[in-house]
Amino acid sequence: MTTMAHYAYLQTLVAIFSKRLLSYAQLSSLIRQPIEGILPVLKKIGLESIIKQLPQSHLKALPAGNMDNLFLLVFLDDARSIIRSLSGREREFFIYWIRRFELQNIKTILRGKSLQHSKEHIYTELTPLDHFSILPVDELLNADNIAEILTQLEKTPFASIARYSSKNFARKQDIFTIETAINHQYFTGLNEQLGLLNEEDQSLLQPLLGRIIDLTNLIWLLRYRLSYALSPSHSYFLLVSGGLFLNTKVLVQLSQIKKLEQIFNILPEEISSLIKDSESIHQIELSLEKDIIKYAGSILNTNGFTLTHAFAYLILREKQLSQIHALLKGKLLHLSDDEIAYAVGESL
Amino acid sequence: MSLFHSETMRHISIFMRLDDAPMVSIMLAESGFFDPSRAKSDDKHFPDKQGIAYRRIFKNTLSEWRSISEYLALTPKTKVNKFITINKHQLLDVESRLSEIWRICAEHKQRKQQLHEQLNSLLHLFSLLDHFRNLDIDLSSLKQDFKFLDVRLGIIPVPYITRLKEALSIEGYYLSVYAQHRDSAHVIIAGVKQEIDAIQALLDSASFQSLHIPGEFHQQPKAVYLTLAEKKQKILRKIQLHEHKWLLLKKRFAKEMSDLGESLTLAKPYAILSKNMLRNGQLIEINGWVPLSEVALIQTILDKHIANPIILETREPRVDEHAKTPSYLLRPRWIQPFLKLVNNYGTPGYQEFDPSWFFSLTYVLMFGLMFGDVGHGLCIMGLSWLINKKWPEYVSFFFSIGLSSLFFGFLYGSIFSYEHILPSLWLSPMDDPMLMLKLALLWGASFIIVLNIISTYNFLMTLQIKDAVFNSRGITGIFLYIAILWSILSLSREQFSTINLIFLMTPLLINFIYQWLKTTGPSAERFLVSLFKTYDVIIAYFSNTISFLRVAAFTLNHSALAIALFTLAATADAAGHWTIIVLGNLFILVLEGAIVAIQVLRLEYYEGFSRFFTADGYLFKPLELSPQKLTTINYT
Repeated sequence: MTTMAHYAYLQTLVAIFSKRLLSYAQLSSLIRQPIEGILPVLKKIGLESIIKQLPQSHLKALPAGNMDNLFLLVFLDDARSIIRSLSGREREFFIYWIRRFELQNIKTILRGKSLQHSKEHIYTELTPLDHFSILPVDELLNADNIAEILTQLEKTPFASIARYSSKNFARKQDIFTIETAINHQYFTGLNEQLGLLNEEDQSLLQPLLGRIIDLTNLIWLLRYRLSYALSPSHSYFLLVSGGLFLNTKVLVQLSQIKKLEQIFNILPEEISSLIKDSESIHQIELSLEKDIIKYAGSILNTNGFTLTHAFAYLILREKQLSQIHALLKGKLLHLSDDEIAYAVGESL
Repeated sequence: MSLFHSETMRHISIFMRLDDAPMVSIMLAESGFFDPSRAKSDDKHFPDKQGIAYRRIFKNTLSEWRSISEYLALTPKTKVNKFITINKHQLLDVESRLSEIWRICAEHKQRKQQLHEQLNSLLHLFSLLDHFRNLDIDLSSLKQDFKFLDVRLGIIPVPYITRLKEALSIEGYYLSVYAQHRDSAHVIIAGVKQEIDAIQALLDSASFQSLHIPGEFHQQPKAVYLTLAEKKQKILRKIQLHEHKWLLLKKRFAKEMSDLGESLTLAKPYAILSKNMLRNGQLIEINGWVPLSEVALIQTILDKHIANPIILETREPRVDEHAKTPSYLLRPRWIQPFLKLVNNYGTPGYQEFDPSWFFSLTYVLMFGLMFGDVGHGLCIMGLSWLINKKWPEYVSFFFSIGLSSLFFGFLYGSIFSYEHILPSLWLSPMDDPMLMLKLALLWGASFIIVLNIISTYNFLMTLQIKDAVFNSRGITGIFLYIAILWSILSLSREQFSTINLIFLMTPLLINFIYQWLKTTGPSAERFLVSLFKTYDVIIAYFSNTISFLRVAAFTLNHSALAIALFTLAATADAAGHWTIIVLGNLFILVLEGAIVAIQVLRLEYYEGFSRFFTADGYLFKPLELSPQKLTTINYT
């Protein structure tokens, strides 16, 4: 069976879903329109559920947390449709990708508990993952301490993450150590999931996933070195493998920088050309994100169909939903078009 | 021997001279039929205070004797050879000698503990050494605090090896894996020592667990292993030598300990009885319970061994004493395991009906009914033969239920689950399940009626006449239950008549009035309480009867399991067929057999005993003059 025949249903689904993605020009024109003009477009791109939740007078903004959750649920709906049409290891790979939101919830619970927040308070801060949720939230919230949370997690698919984290925590009672262990373990697991796919899917997914890992590694490294002042070796250790352009040699060199400017001489051309005008870590992050979006867009525009098309769609959809979220929030808060353009355009 | 009651008991009061009390105590214990009771002191009689010091010394001495006997694994004498009294000074001598022996034993014990501790710490070192067995360096070098070199040993998760190695290389450190167990890697890390510890935070993130190198590890692992092995051999030799010393100690003290145990056995009756003795001047009074049939024996023994006059007064237990009178249940040997099950529920009161016989017979009968199979019955009987030596007290239990199973197996025509090899002498349960269910209900109804008759008898024996007549477990209850059964039967035949109604309502009304009279409080409350109690009686009778359906259910279950077994066996080849048949029968025998045994016990306890058995009595426990009892007696 050819790849295309194998993914026939998924291809159709992604083709239909792709119509929901707005071009750069369409998004820019929306910024200059009043909110009444935006709503029909939002309806077209599958955001009816969000329109229904908007206050009728459009005078007041919705609570930010609520808006975040609504957009996430829209994204999860798309992800669920795609995952439903997959099976076996491909399905596991996509589920694992979505599971990163669950990691965020684990971190929220750990932070909440370490700050001794009430369980009701922590609960309101959790991201609702609908059917994707596998965490025993109640048990975790009822746990007396961090160690008990980690023990509870050992009964979930996050067992390996919990096991290493609990070893770290036992040695050093520090949430930062746990969070870095969680991040590290997640990406290690992601690489393992990628390795389980067939060779064709692996080779096609790797450039996109490699770019994401490059972005993650570079931003983490800069923060560890320049913001948290971790040692070069420690910073390097917390990075993950599987990058596209940032190999071990480059990462070792990068881990020894003391100033931001030093990275330009070390980074390979493919990345340094993308960030040459960036002056801060945040700008570097946006530039690299832009490259990922561009690359994902190019995949979606190529003929034929592979698993990577579906993955690229999810990357693009997630990003665009966050842009529309910013746009809508700006409109509801009556910000000026320029301010909204900055908020949306900055991430464009 | 009384079949359904305790043996008739007599309260006995023995009056003697003060100096005869120790010998009288010994003789009462020797008789084996005297259960002491506490008598109330009055103006003339006071508790004998002299015994207090004696009891304290006895208690301490007994404790030491037990500790030594346990440590030296000594077995006491089977019986006392001569009847002599042990006075307080002699008891003190025994205590003193036992203290001396215990001191020697304690020293030996302490040394033994020390040797075992040394062995354990050596074994711990072996397990630690296991971490380093692949290293080919002098382990003492790893403990040194080098001036310029930072060397660390530890364990990290396997997935971290590569990245940690790369990360450490940034700081100029080197990592080498020298052993790997499952997901843990044993590593040695070395690098140039720096002023600030640059790698500790990194190692923390890598879950690095530092390994401590004990002082004993000052050579290469192989050499350390040899040194430790040599030490281990030395300690083992010492332990062996110490074991030999223990045998010598045992030999040295065996005879003396046996004699000291005999002295303690002779001291024990007075130590126990002195607690209950009453004193009036130079006169001592001892009270207790003796079976009527053994009063003469007590008199004879005392007359024979006590030169001075002894006054022995006996009387029947007063009505107000029935609750305190011990129950002496003389039952044949085969019934003993069943008696244990009865006593597990409770001991029948002195005047109460003893259900041992009833329990034994109905238990055996119901087990056979529910687990009828010639083959399985024979297996259970075979089991009784197998356990004959180890648990002789349970032989009759397994033999009886096995025999019952065998008997009903012939009636059902079932052998090792085969239903068509043997002709059934009655019928196979699956041939007529409805008949089995009806018979189970009939059995249950008869069981309940008999129990109500026993309950009425118990009420009468304890002079609770009102309860005997009006209680739901008395005569009224019997009539009510029969009326309920008759009404249900009439309704099922559409023949329910006014006579039925009268017959049903009369005992109900009597029970209601009886409950009303027993209840206190406002009228409305009394009405409601009486109504609900009467309603509860009907529901209880109903559920008790239905409960007996399990007798038929398990009978059918046994046949159904057999069908399932053969269906399964039919799907396999010849070898598989017989394997399934054998294992299936074993499964039925063990699991179903156990379930049936428990279900029958449940029926006996909850549908039977709870109906009539108050079980608030206590067993007759006479004093005994046996050195072997010294190790088990709970002396308080």
